[in-house]
Amino acid sequence: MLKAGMFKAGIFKTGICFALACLSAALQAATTHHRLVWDSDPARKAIIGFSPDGESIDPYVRYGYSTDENLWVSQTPNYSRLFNNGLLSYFVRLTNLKENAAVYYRVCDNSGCGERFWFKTAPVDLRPFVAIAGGDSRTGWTNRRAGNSLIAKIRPLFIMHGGDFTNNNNIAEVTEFLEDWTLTFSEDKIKGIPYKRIYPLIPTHGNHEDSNFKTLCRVFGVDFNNDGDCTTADTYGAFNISPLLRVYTLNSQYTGSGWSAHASAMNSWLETDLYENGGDALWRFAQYHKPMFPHHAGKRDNLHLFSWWAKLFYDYSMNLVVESDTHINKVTRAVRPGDNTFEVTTSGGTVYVGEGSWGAPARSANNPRPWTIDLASIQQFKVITVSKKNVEVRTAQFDETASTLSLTDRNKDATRLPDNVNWWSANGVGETLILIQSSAGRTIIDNDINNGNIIEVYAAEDTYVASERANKNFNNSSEGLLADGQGSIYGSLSTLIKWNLSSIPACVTVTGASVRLNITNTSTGSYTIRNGLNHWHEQTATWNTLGGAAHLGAPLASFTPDTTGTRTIPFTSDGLAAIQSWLRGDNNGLVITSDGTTDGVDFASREQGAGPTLILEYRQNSSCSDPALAYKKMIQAEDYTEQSGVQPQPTTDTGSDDEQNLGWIDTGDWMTYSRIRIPTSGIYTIEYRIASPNNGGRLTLELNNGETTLGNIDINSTGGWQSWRTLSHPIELPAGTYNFRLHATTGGWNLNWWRIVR
Amino acid sequence: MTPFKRTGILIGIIFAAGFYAFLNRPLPPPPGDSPLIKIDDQGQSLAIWSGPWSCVYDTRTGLLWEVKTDTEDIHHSTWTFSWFLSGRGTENQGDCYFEAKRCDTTDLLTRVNQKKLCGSGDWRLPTSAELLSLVSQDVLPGEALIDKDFFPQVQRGDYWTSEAEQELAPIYRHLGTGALVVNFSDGTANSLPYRNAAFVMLVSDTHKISKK
Repeated sequence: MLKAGMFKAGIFKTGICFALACLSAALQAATTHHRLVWDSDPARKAIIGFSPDGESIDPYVRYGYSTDENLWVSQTPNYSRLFNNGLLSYFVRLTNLKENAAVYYRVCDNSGCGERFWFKTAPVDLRPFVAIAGGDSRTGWTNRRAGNSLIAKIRPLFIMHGGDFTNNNNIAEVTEFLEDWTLTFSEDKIKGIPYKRIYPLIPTHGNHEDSNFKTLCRVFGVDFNNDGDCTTADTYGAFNISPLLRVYTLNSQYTGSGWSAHASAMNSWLETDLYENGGDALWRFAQYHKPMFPHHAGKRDNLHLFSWWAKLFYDYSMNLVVESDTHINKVTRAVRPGDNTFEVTTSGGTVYVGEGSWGAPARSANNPRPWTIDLASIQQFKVITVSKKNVEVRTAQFDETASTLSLTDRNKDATRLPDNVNWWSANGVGETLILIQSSAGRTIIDNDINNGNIIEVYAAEDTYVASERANKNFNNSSEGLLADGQGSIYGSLSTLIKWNLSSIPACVTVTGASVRLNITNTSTGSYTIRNGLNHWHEQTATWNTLGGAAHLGAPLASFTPDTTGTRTIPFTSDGLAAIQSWLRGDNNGLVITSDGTTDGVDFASREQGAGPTLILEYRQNSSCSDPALAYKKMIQAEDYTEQSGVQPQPTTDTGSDDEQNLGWIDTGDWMTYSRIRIPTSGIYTIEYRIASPNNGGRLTLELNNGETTLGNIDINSTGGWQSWRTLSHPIELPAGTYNFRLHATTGGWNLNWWRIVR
Repeated sequence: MTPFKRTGILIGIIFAAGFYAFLNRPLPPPPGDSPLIKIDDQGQSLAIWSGPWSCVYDTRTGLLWEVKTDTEDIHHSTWTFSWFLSGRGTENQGDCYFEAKRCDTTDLLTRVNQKKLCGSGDWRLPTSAELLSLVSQDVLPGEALIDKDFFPQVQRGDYWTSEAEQELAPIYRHLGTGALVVNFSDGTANSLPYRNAAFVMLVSDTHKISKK
């Protein structure tokens, strides 16, 4: 506890020191490795930590709520801690701070005052905020530093670290960790004065801290149990960030011989705290080091942790758990404990994320569980937006592409995130996992994954074609995928992409779709994504085999690829209709063309990795649950009952088993198909598989030799006699048995098959 | 008992113990007992008890294997790599410390072939059959399923093979296809996405036995 005399002495010393600092900028406090830590009531308290840089005599902290340093007060360290008999740290515990306030400070000693820092205290209301949670920074310093630098760009309210700060937990490595931690500071200029924004850390004990169970209190100054001592019990605790969130930090390393009493004490405390205080905040998060069920097969299941905590988490509505240790990335569904495992629940449970890869070398993400949404070997931490309405969990990869959020940006919007962060996209979820609560306060995932109706599909085929190299195939080009309006060498370039949609259930309606492209070379011009009309394979497609512009179908989306990195482009309603036709078998993929710009664009191909991905949202049609209402009948063209003027010929079309189409169809020719039963009344789509080198054709669908006209289609060039395209029109049919006639009201086209679909 | 007798008995005991130790001394295995031969970094064969060795030649298959290390060089055993070969796969999704960016299988292949490890310049990813030929069940519990006398740093984990375009388990299927790995904790081959970070142990076909 700070004594009044010490305070006055501090003021006196501060005055002298401040005056000296004004006289000579060369005088600087000999302190380094600054850190800010939270262990309780962050609206009113904070721990400022630092170490002497050589010799620092009588260090202290001056702080205030404005940049006017004349208004600041001083406080000497409440305690110092020596880590491993060599790393000395001083800790100043600020108390009675203003809530939701900017606090400005400098660390001083008898040689002057050092750099200017500032931080924010937590709010005491339900205003939203952003937090970061990750772990395992023990090795892989390049990646660790990249992650640290990303924090400075994101500007969170605080950071949860899941342990394994260093590999050997020795003085040299901890010093290096603290040096790297300075990369998390944001560079601000406040009223013309340079400040570093420093972010509060809530540390966790990992297994690489096992050599010293007092690492957290000796390096970070935490005193979770508020007993004034640095003990091995200062490895677990809980406090409210605000009325929005209570954070639990637990020690998963109380497992070895001799630690059982500590484990019992911790778990007893946890149950009591959850019971007494868990409901004080709207949301509850937990962090600890070792996962209950690692998603890397080289790690054993930690069933003791499951037995300690899983039921408590469920019973007391722990909403989100961040685990580390494994050096991979995972996101789970909402789960509840079962018999030595978890069960998926859609009525409320706990979501487990993390597994720690904040620098430590990525491992094989090879042990998915039945409740896993997705997993990957990436370097990452979680960026978590907490609000009254929901919790949004994103996974940030440590690319340098992220923009920097300015102080003004953050002041305007407490939940804004920088542009161009390389967010990892979880299959079926996308970049943002959205958590809401059940009536019991348990977590429900608000993404549509609960119904399984979002799916991501990686490109099955992709290439590009060039008008000035009209017979050249560019599959698996080292340049990836290209599009351009008019290049000097290749002329017009178009990118072709196709997906295998066999994993989509039958009888669905596409309700949303987008394509995710990895742009490797930007363009300031506009590009259009169109439906592909002609059949192609990546290994044979050329400008000529596609028929050039004849391949271009309806526009599905447009975009301007003006930044590198992943870009998700939503499809229009025409795009959804096109994908619906892909699902019916008419899948020639899409083509990306310039809208006129000659500023070309490059995308990563599927062969290069991070290739084009189709993201589909769909709903299961009710007719699928009632087979009587679903209907699909394909009729080969040559399976006519009667005909006039037509002849079969070999076909090169794919997608159906037959090897013939009908040709020599001239104006006035016809084919009849008798006794086709339509089981229920309704709207049907009639599809025709057509090829033609000519424009101006017309096909009419009739009943009973022309007594009734049901509909017709106009036929234009598909690019050749064997360049196949599916055309369609809707008709309304009462239930019954019909004799259909396909009438070439204007001939000059081939027909491979036709189909009735509902 | 006289001091002379006591000295004699003591000498006798020491002699007997020494003779017993001589009779029970550890002997090197007879030549040809193991099908594996240690190879130094220049490609020279070493006696079975000698070292250091950088490669292992398997007389059963005629394959030369890269030996992983714990020295944080390019052969370090815990570096991981995404599968990327000849423009196919996913670049830079593993972690090694010898590349400015993150690491993939091509990075390791390039370095090892440039180095001409053990005199060979045709290092490649092994097939699953080749990797499985190293799997041994004659190991201590909890150890990687491989002869630790020759491959002391091999991990209980996934090692990439050259076999791409493999169908994936349902949870990964949205990623398209992947490549096979051989897991040295259970001795099985499975497919994983190219973006996955796994270990790599390279193999070469062209080694000629020569002794120092």
